[in-house]
Amino acid sequence: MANQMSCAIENAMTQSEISLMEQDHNRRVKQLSTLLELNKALLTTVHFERIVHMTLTAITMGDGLGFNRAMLFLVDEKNHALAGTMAVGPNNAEEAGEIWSALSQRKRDTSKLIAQIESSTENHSVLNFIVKGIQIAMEHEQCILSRTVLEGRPFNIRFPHDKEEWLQTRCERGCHLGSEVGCYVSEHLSRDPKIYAFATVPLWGKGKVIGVILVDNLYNRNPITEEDIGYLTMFSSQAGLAIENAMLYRNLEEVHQQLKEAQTFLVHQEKMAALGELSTSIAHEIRNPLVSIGGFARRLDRTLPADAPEKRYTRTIVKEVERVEKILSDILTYTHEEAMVLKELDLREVMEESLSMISEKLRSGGIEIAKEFSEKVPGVKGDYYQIKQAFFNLINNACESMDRKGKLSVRIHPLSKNGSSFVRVEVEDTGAGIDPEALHHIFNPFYTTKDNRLGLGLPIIHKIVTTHQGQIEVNNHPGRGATFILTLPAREEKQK
Amino acid sequence: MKKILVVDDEESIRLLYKEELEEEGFVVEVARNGQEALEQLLLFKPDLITLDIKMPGINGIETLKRIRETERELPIIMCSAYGEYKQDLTTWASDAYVVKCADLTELKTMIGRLLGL
Repeated sequence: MANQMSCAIENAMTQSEISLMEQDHNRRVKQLSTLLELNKALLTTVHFERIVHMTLTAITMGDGLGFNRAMLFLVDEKNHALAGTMAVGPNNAEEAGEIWSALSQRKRDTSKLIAQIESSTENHSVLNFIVKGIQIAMEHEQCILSRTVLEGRPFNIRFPHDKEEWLQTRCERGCHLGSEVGCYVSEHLSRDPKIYAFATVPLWGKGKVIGVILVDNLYNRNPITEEDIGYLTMFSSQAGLAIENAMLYRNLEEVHQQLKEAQTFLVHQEKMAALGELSTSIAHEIRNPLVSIGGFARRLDRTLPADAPEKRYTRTIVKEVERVEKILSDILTYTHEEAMVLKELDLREVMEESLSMISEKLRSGGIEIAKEFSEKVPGVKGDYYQIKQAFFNLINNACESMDRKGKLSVRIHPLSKNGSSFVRVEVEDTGAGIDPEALHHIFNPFYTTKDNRLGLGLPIIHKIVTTHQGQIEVNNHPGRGATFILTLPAREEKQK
Repeated sequence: MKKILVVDDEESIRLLYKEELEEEGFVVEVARNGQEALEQLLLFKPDLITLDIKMPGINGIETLKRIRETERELPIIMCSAYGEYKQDLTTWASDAYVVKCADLTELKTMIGRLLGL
C-alpha cells in the first residue's frame, strides 16, 4: 500500500516536474522565436536611428524581452567616453499602465510585432532627453556602465546598497542615473530609490564592445533574472552587429555627402573657370563694338533737340549698351582671379568715390543720403578698385531696392573684436528688403529676383570681401529694408 | 592747345575718341598700331597718349615700354577691354588705366587730371 502510494506520489511529482519542464520549454521556445523575429526585424534597415530605436523597443516590448525601460550608451572613441544615445520606455507609472493594458488586449503575433516596432513613432520622452545628455568618462571605474565596457560582461545590480555597485552617473537633477528614475517617479511611487534594480549588458560589435545597454523594471518591479540577462545578451549580440553596421553606414553616408558637396564645388569652380576663359576671349570682341555703338549713340543724342521723338531711340541705345557693359564687367570681375594691388585705404574716401559714381542716379531718384563716418577710422589694406566696386554694388543695390524714394544710410565705424581691430561698413536702405526665401541664395552667382539682372552683384561683393579676409552680413527686414554690414580687418596700428 | 595721340586698332574707336576729344578742345591725332604710334610720337609730339592694349603687331604693353625708353614723363593712359593687366601696368609706369566704356566721362576726367587742366 505504502509502496503503491509512494509510487503514485513519485509519479505525481514526476508529472508535475515534467509539466514544469514543459512550461519552461514552451516559454524558451517562444522567447527564442521572438528573438529570431526581432533579429529579422533588425535586418530590415541600415538607418542608424531606426535600428537603435528598434533594438530598444524590442527590449522593452512585452512580446519582446519585456523590460520596463532600456537605454543605450555608445562608446565615443575620440573622447574616450560613453555617450547616452537613446532611451525607450514610459515616462511614468501611469503611462506604463496604459501601455500594458493596451498590450494585453492585443493578439500575440510575431509578424505584427515587427510591424509595431517599425511603426513606433518619434521618441520625445523625458527619459530619452536625459539619457542623450549623459556623457561618462570611460576611466570611471566606479561606474557600472564603464565597467560593462571595460570588462565586457553583464552586470545585474539587484540591491545596490553597496556604494561600489551603484551606478555612478547623474541625471540633470543631480541624482544618480539609477535614482534619476527615482527622481522622476519617486514622487509618485514614494519608492526608495536605493532599491532600484537594473542590469547592464555590453554591446558587442566586431571584436570589441561598442556600447552598453541598460535595462530596468522600474514600474512592475519584476526581478531581473539571470535568464533575462541571458536572453538580453543573446539579442544584444545581434543588435550590436546591426548597430555597428548602421554606424558604418552612417559614416559612409556622411563621407558621401561631403564628397557630393566637394563635387558640386568643383563643378562650380570648373564652370567659373570655363566662363572666365570664354568671357575674356569674347570681352574684347564685344566691348569694342559696344564702345562705338554706345559712344556714337551718345553723340547722336547730344545733337538731337530735347523734344525730338528720336531722342527716345538714342536714349534706349545708350541705356541698353550700358546694361551689356555692366554684364560684361560683372562676369569678368566674378570669374577672374585678379591679382590685387594692395594699398592702405581710407574706407571713408573710397565710399565717397563710390557715392559720387552714383550721385546722379541718387539725386534724380529723390533718394536721401545719410552719411555717418567716425572721425577716426583705421586704414584697411586692400585693392582700391575692388573695394570701390564692392561699395558701388552695395549702394547700387540699395538704390534699386528703394525704387526712387527712400533713405540710404551709410555708416563707417571702427570696431574692436577679440582683441583685433576692424572697420565696419554699413549700407542701409528703406526699400523692400529681401524675400526671406531668397535670403539663402543672395550670394550665389546667377541667382536673381530681378528679371533683367545677371545676379552677380552680391556674389561679387562677397568675393571681394572674402578675398580681403572680411565678412559680410545682412540684417533683413522684409518690407522695411535691409542693412548690409561689411567687416574688414584694419591694418595693424603702429602705436601699440 | 594740348595734343593727344589716340592709339587703337579699331577704326570706329579712333573716330569716336577723336571726335569726342576734339569737342573738348584738344588737338587729336590717331595711330592704328604700335609702329604708327612710335612714328607719331616724333612727328606729332603729343602731350598725352591713350594706348589700346590688345593690338596686332606691337601690342600696347610693348609700345608703352618703347615709348618709356625716351619719354619718361609723358602721360600715358592704357585702355583695355578687360582688367587683366592692371597689376603689371603699375610696374611698367603707365599713368592711368581705364576699362573701355561707351561713356567717356572717366577717360576725359583722367586726361584733365593728367594734363593739369
